[in-house]
Amino acid sequence: MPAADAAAAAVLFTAHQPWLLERLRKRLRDAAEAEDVSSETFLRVMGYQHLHAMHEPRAYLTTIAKNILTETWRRRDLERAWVDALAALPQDLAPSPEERALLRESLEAIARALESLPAKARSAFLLSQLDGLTYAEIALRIGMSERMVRRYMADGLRCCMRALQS
Amino acid sequence: MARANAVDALDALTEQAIDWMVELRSGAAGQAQQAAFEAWLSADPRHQQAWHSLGGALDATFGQARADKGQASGARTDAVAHAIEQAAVLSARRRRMLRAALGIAGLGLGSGWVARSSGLLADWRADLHTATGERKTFTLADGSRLQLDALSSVDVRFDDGLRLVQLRQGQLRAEVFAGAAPFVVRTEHADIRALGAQFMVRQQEARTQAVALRDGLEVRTLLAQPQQRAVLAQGQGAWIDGTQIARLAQPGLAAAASAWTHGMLHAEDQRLDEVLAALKPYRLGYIRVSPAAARLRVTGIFALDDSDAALQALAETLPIDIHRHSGGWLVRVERTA
Repeated sequence: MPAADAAAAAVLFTAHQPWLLERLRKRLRDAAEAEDVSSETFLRVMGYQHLHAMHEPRAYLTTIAKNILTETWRRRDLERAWVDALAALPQDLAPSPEERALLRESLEAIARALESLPAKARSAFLLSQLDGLTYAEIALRIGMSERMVRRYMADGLRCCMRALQS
Repeated sequence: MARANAVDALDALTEQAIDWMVELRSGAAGQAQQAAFEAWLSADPRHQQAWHSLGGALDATFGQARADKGQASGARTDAVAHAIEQAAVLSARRRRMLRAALGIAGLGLGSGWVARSSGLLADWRADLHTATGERKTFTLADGSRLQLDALSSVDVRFDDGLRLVQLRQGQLRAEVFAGAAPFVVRTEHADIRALGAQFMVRQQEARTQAVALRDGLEVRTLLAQPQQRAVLAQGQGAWIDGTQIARLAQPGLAAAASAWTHGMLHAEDQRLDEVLAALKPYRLGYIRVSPAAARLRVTGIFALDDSDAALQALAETLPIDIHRHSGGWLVRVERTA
């Protein structure tokens, strides 16, 4: 870290860390979580260059803290929803432990790529990618035309490309 | 025919590759289409590049979860689709809440608002957790006890067939009350099943350590195909990185591994960065260690509850300089030049 940034980091901690922690504590009502988020926020800020040129540090720190919370919650929501979805499956259709491990590994990437798709489009795309169903089979299963299935396939592929690019 | 794409179109070459992918995966593509595709692919190196990028994007998204022909039941796909849908609903709700709770514009909101929505906030939190510098023992519904180290959290899921404790972060010591259902501690990397009364589990970012304190343990990797499995006798331990199990059997392992339960850190020829990482849950702020200092080996016993004294003790026995900034919030450790 350049000297100017190291000095700026020290100033940033002293001036704003208690403020951010207090704010998070008040809003989250959970001291441990507030400390985690505050720590992670400053850790990320330390990684930025030109720290000394940063304006509006509190707005900046708030934005980073928000992003961290959003990411954390998203992961937890997904994990919980996944456990619930598995629990809802009939016993004889439940995936094997091996399948589960593979799916769980990919779940986050899949969710990130496809979350902006409408539910029907997502289901159609997943049936093609995960189960290898033909468009005729998908059309029958979801109750849509094959032409719509094709459109959804293209949308799904675009989402995957975008996720890779971002 | 003109219909705005639900998802905005990408560059022309990528769109061509997408058209081909849509065509070839339809289940209705015949030899003529296959030949036309191959002609397109070989017509221009940029076509190949676009095609490979698209394949790469699919691999990055689906990894090994992609279809093997013939295994389709549709049920697991429904579960994936359902989970993503549910998570999207939950996340949208939280985002709205977060905007209100933390947004600059939300500064004026009173704490009453947060109190009203605390039920929502509570449901994502781990069931049991400890703060920085806090150790705590919890008694579970079946009489078993969990001691959590500082900055640790677990979810407890007991049902008829299984007593499952998910260790989200940090470390724990479990004292298992004998019962009919298996008692399992699960981490990112491993399932640790009690065969007896007492054991210790510590989760780090890339690996998990399990040590059998009284009676034995069974450990299984969660990420390897096929799954690896090992049984550890009392006093033995292992590191599990998700795919492999590395056994540990040095004398004194159990005492060293559970020293934290008495507020002590017991290092036996350990790297300095590992020792500092063990102090981290007991300090607010950061400890930065230079690569040259990180490799130094440390042996000794340190007090976790007074991490400043522990840092002092390290500085006295090792060739390192410790710089404190911002009232101890940022600590830099460097090897003495």
